[in-house]
Amino acid sequence: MPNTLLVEGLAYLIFLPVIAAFLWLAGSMLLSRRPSEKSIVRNCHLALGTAFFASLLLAVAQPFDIGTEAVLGSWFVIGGYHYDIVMQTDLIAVTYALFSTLLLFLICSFSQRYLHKESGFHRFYLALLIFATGLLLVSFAGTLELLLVGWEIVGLSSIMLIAFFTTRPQPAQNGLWVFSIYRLTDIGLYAAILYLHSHSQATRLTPLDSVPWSGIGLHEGTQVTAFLLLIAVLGKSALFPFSSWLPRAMEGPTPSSAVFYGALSVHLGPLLLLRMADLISATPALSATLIAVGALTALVANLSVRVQSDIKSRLAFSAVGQLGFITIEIGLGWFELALLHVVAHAVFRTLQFLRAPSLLHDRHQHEALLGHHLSVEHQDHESTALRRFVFRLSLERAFLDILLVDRIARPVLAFARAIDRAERSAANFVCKDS
Amino acid sequence: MNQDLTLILHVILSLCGFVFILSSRDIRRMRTAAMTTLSLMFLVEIALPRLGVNVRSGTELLAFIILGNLLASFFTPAYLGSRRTFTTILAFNSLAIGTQIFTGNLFLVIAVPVFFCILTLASWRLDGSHRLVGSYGLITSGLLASSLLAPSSGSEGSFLLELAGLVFLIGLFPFSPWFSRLYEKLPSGLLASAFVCQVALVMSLERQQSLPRDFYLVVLPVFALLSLLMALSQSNARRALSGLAASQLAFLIYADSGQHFSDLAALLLAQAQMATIPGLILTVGALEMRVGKLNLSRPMGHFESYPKLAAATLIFGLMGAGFPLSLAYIAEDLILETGFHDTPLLGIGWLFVTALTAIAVVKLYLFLFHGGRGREPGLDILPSKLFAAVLTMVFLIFSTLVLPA
Repeated sequence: MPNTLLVEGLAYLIFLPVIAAFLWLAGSMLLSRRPSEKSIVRNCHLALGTAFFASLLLAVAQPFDIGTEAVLGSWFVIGGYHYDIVMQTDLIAVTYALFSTLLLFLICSFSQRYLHKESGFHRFYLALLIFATGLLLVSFAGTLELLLVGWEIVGLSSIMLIAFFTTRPQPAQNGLWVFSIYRLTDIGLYAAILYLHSHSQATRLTPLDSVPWSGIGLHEGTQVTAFLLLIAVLGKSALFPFSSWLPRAMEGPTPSSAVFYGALSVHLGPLLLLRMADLISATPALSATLIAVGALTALVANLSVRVQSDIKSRLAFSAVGQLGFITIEIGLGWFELALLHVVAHAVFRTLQFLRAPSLLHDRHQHEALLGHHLSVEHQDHESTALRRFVFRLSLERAFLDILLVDRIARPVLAFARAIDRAERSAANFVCKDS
Repeated sequence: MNQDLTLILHVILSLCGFVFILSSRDIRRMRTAAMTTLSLMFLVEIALPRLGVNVRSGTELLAFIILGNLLASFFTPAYLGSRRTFTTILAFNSLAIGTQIFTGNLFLVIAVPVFFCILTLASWRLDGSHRLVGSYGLITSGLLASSLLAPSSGSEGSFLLELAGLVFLIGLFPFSPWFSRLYEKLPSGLLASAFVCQVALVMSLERQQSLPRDFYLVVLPVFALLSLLMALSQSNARRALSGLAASQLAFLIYADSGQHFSDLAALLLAQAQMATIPGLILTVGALEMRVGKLNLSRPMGHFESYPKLAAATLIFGLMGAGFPLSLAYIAEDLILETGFHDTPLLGIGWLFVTALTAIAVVKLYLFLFHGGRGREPGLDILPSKLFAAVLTMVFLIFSTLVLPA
């Protein structure tokens, strides 16, 4: 009992400071009392630092092979329907919370200078705090419903960060595209929850005997649930065939890029897959699909990365490639290795993203000192049909964008426009003065 | 006696409001009269149950009806309003309250034509829109009256008539020309008020539960999806709003036809829609007043000039689209769970509808406020209006915490 109380207390300590910091900043902005940059960063540090140390205490206070469930109350209760706020403090949750809060803390520090006197400084930190809340919710969610809430919050804050620069049209268009992919693939997660409710009457993540974390238990229709959840994972982690949104999300400032492609957002897919460990082990078809999807993602990303001309695109495709490998590891049942890979990749990629802007500056400085440009070796290859095809495939990102935009989205919208034109004509016919 | 107290107070307040508006010559005073009347009605609805007065059952929507109309008159600036605007809002309010107090299909047979009459009068001389609304009103009233009053009521035929009447009433594809036309022409305050009235009308219909509803349930999500696709493909922001509003009303009809939790879920959804969708319509209208006609063919970029208006638009939109932590989210969760349990494929269909609604809302926000322009001289949302918007949102969020256990 004392252990449960301690876990509940620590769970509150993880969430409350972040939510309080968000409410303080949102309230100040609404009331037109803009706090100073220093006080924003200080409060964000305080909130994220508290969340980090509470997660650390959680890791120390309980053995990982048990994993405690903390019920923080009910959001609402209607008839026999309960919407409980259940937190699951197991190996996956604590690991994700630790590296997420640590990296967010670093990004918070980095952004203080990077976005100094930028008009959207306050907005960036607001989005970052919303993102942190969503991320922690997904990490600690003890039910799939709660995971969905965090999942959606992360999605929305991602759009706020992609469309951060408000004076250019491209971020808005790309933000809409990313949100569309997110929201349409999230239907898989929604449907899985509804399916679980109608077949097993429960979506609570259950402790497993043999695995040191909590996941979705086996039930009738396991295969259906697993494949529905996979759809949501494909969208969130930019896996094949949805890899094309990641480079489009490049429009935000560098710290937000680090948050997305590098460290945190894209790794939520593997988190859900790790929660599905039991389902994956019990469904060979799903394992095979994961391996195939991972391999295709890695292949497309590694081909695409070779033809990118800017550093952020290269890093984004490298991140997608690594996500492909992580998916393969999960498909093969190497769950511990996948978790380790996620942490290592997140930390390393964040460093690369945060270093990227100054790297170019350093190179220019180096060249100025040398007095000449650093040479780039160009290798001449014989142009064959296969080479040309592979080059085009890499340049067009395996034609995934063309498939989604030109073959699906545009024809559907063109059809809707044709109906609209017909409707306007009919209305004008009735309304015109005789 | 206690049970009729609310009704008596509402009738007295409505009459006083009409008298003040009609007798006043100054638009500012008309607006003040409309807002005072609605505020007093809201207070009556909130205070009477707390004071231990037994209110009539089936009047759970009244506070939200009044809140929606209060927002509509509050966001309509005096210099753009007219006697017609404020009397119409008050008329819609009275009609919506009437549909909740005098429940039953017989009353609906009277209420639907009255609704269309008010709309026809409001759209009088607007490029001939009144003709379109009038003819659609006649068809809708005829369809609903024959389905509800015909001797063969309860048969397949009356069921189809009811479906057609409802689709006409909510302006869903393919019977949407009158709805999108009105959204293009009418002031946003009137549209918000009309939407609240439509929700009240849909909620007051007593369904014929014994009938097989498979066809009915398949047709609605398909029409709602097409309406939303039309909204997404729009370059005209007001027409996009009409598609969004119609699909939300279709979802409400679906909610009202479920088995488990259906009454409560539909009620929650109606409550959420009555405050959020009018809020979205009004914030978009407020932007239009500042910058002129809104075009969605490319990002317009008004964020730097109107950041608070942008935030209000996004939050109202997301709360209407059922974003987590909102009242609409709870309602959607209950509705979809019931729907999925009964017919999984239909549940998936409605999941697509909710997804497209969210996408349409985000498109509206991103394309109206992001991209293209720097700061321009202009008045952002007024502090009092922002306060009202925040209060409404807080009311909506906290109302999820005080649900019946």
